[in-house]
Amino acid sequence: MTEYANPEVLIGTEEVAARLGDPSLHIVEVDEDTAAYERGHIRGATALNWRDDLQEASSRDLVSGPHFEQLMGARGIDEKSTVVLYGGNNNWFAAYAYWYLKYYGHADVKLINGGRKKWELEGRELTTDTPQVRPTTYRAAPANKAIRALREEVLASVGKVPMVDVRSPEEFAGILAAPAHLPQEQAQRNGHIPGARNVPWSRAANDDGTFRSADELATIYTGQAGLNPQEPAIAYCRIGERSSHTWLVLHELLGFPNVKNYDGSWTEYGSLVGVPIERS
Amino acid sequence: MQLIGRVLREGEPVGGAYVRLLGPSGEFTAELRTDDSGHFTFYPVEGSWTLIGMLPGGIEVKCSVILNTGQTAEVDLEVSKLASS
Repeated sequence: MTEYANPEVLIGTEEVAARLGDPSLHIVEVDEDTAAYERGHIRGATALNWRDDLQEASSRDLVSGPHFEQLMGARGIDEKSTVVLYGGNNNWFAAYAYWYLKYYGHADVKLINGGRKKWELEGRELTTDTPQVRPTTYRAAPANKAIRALREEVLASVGKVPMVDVRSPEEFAGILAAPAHLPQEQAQRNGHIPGARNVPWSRAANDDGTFRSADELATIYTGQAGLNPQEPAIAYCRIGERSSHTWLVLHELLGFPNVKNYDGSWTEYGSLVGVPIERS
Repeated sequence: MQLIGRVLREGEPVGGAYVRLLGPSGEFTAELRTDDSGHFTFYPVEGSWTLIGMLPGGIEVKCSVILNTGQTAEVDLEVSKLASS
């Protein structure tokens, strides 16, 4: 059986449970449901709110380097820390935070394999205790633009670079505007980027939210989806979090060096004036 | 259009269960966690859907639903005594 290209980016629930209280691990929860952390979290975990902390609302962008440094430092994280991320929705938003930390050059980031769902279904402890945090100073690296696609690049890449639409088949076909656990009123048109191939993020995950084996992932992405590991590819979804999950699979677990996440994703592309889309 | 329901174990609501919605092709469409009263709400369109409830202990319960246009469907996912023993 083939090993992941970077197996150290995953950490199992058992190991996390055995290392609770280990000061060398900085556990951080990131959820779509921003109230989930308050209802109970892994002991010692701090939280990042994807909407309030990780979005520059005034410009609809990632937060600046100095802002990111403040976020990390306030959680007691410095650039040498081992950051362990987890969250709900099969780690969608935790994977987004993983990609975000990589964007600002953080070296040692891990994702709890299976995330909050696996932790809960295994009956592991959650607490509402506030963790003791000693704020520190964080120095972010220059943004790693090689892992992020912006709209100009995406528009120039249509028909030239493989686009991986990781949403559900219903969203890809334009039948649904958002994942079906969310209300469907959305501003953008329904559909997908012309020529995109639909490889739902969920194909990369087992039912318990853990990632499939390296061999299974290679079959899905190189065999079935026809991606070339050495060629560029761009992953997108609706708001960039599920595509972070796929970016992590391709870039970190399979070791594809030229994969980017288009975090503007369908909410941006589907709203562009004068830009054709496809349906079904 | 809504698909609403509860996860029940021996008639009692199960909060914190995970419910997965599979589309007509059998592919994952969405997943959520039941609230404290065991409720879930999905927003699909008409068609044939499958619900899978996941509870601690590896317990799973599955059910198929056909949604018609404009309909709000209500489904309870009931874990039997057998499955929960």
